[in-house]
Amino acid sequence: MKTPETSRLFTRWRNPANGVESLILTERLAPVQRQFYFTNRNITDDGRFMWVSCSYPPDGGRHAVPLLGVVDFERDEMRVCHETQYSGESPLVDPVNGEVYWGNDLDLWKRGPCPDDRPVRVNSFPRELTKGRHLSHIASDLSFSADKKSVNVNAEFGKEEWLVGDMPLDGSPMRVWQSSDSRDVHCQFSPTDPDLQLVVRDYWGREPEKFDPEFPYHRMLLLRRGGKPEPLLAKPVSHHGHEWWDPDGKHVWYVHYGVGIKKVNIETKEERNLWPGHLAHAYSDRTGRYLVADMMETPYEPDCHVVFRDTVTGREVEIVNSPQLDKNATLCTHLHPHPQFCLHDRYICHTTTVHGRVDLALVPTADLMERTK
Amino acid sequence: MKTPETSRLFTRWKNPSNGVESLVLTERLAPVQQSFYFTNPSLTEDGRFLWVTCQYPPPGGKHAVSVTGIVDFEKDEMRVYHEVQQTAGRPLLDLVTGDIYWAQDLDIWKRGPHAGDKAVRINRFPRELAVGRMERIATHFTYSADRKSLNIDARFIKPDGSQVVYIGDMPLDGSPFRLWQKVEGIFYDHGLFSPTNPDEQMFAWEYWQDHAPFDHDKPYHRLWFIRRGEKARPILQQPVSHSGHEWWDPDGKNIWYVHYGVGIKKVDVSTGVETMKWPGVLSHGHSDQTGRYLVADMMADPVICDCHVAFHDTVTGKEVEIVNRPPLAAELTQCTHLHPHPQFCCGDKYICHTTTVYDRVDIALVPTRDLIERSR
Repeated sequence: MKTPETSRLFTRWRNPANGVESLILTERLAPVQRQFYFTNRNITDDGRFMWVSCSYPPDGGRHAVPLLGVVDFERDEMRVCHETQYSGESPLVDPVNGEVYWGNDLDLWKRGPCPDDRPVRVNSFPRELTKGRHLSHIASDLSFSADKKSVNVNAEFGKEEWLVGDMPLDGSPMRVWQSSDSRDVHCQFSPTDPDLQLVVRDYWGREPEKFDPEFPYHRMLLLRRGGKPEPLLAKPVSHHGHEWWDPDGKHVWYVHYGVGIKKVNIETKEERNLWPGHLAHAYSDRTGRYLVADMMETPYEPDCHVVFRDTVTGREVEIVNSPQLDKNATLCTHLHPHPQFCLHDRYICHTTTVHGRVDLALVPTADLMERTK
Repeated sequence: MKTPETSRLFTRWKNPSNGVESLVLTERLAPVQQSFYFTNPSLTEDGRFLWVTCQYPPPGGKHAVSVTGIVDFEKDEMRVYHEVQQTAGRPLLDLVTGDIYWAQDLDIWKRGPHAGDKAVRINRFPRELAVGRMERIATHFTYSADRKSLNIDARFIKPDGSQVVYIGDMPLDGSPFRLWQKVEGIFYDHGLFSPTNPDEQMFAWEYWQDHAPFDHDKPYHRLWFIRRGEKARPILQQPVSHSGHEWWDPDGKNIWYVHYGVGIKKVDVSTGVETMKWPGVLSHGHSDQTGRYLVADMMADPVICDCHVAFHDTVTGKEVEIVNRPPLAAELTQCTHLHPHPQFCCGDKYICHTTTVYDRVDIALVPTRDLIERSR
């Protein structure tokens, strides 16, 4: 089986500043090929399949409904599955069998990664709960419950109602955990507790033009099935976001904008700043020793700037630092690098623009660890 | 050059009740291939290019954002252009060049029909007017009579759930959007430029959606006429019970509409005088260039609809059934708006419509010569 290092579908790109190599998927079946949102991994545990977000904006455009492609390292080929148009930020990949789950209108679908696999409708959002309103998505980013029997639901109806819950994979009825008008987005199931979700209250998005980034607020809450949401932090803090679960299920990481990357114990609420700095999105390896982050002057027209860090030595190495894409290039609206450890931390997957377009890249971590010793 | 009759991409389907033939596009590049909305022709005047709405719902699904494909009768091949995603309005075909116009987000694009043609952004709806969630920039684009602009009936849902609609036009030379009328709290759509006067449009009030649950017998003004620089006025003399699916007569002096449960009527725009042309329980209709021949679909339920299309000679009063099939089985792959939408096209040589005769969603062309002969 091929790997990103040996596949004909990838090309090495070397950072001119330090020689760090990225393996870029240069097999181009769509004008925009990118990484999922950083909370959702896209490579199977055996390294055979890598799912890719693909979109087809017109030349020089940036708007298109995305769908999914898959790189098959066994066949050394890439395929696009046009029936996988998805809503929300990210589909969900089962790392064991390579199946991908996505939301489309009220339906939750899945399909396998092989050419002959057919989509199967897994479940549907109850039509009566829509009350005739437009459902933006079933979940911003789908995640499995710890027992892999459900996916999370954070459904959004216009600007009036947000539902948090879970949708069983056996087709039994969706369960609503909470209904509110609090802009609850980016919910993520705990990786160890099927009755617990991290709920993100998108406070700043209520009235973005009036939002004061210095104003302390509680963005992150924990919601236990049957319970009420409780703030994750001991005290509200100034503007922050882009949170993710530690694999131990006992900690949550988040980016405190302008301050650094913090790790929070969900029981004691103790916080530690593990990477001080002006960072945007980040991710941790399974041990929590290594971090990766992107950074940008403006989130709307971002640079492609990604850095790796060893929290023990405190050393950093730049993966890529490329200025924002030309406005006339074919783009997508949410063009952040979204770096993420994947495949047992063997690679960092991110969206790159080093070739003047939107591409997906994998960076071997062994070299990065060596450089930051 | 091939024709629908000679192309390898089409298969003849014969109506078992009367032998009327439909030429069905059986080259299948997408699981759903359907005709454009009936107000917008999809076949160029020279018969070379047929544009097709394509969708890729999962098997057994019915939801997908449409992309656009094309049949090239010169090359006798079909291609799909995935970048022509119809997210903000139904497309418009230039019947002479084969170029297609469409909207994505706030941008209006066009591209030519050839494989090597590139998309070009021709204009953009002003971001400062785009409040809340965009429903569409235009229900379906039409040319102004001087072919210098496209109609706009942009609709947005504001954060508080209320709606705002902008009626206007968007110049093709890239100059700024021109607002004719802004309306808040009322659902207007289906704007259509007059075919003869670049300063006139009609549009529809979706009263029934503004007043759910709706009383179908309650009279209201659905049809509105607007002249640039003036306020819109109702087209009919008196409000009527539920009606819809209006289109301009090519003379620019009359419009047609379907008075549900009553029939297809032709209206003089200047006087509001109506003439009943095809009494019956009809859903969508369309007229040829002379107004003598009509085609219509009919359905017991617009949500789970039949594929039932008939041709009508208004002089002889005779009708010919083109197709009559029950609704597709629920488990089959389909699309949410599965109406036949029959329409005269290519100089009235064919009637284009969406058909389900093969238990899937297909596009069909029906030669009108045979229908005219049968309805004498």
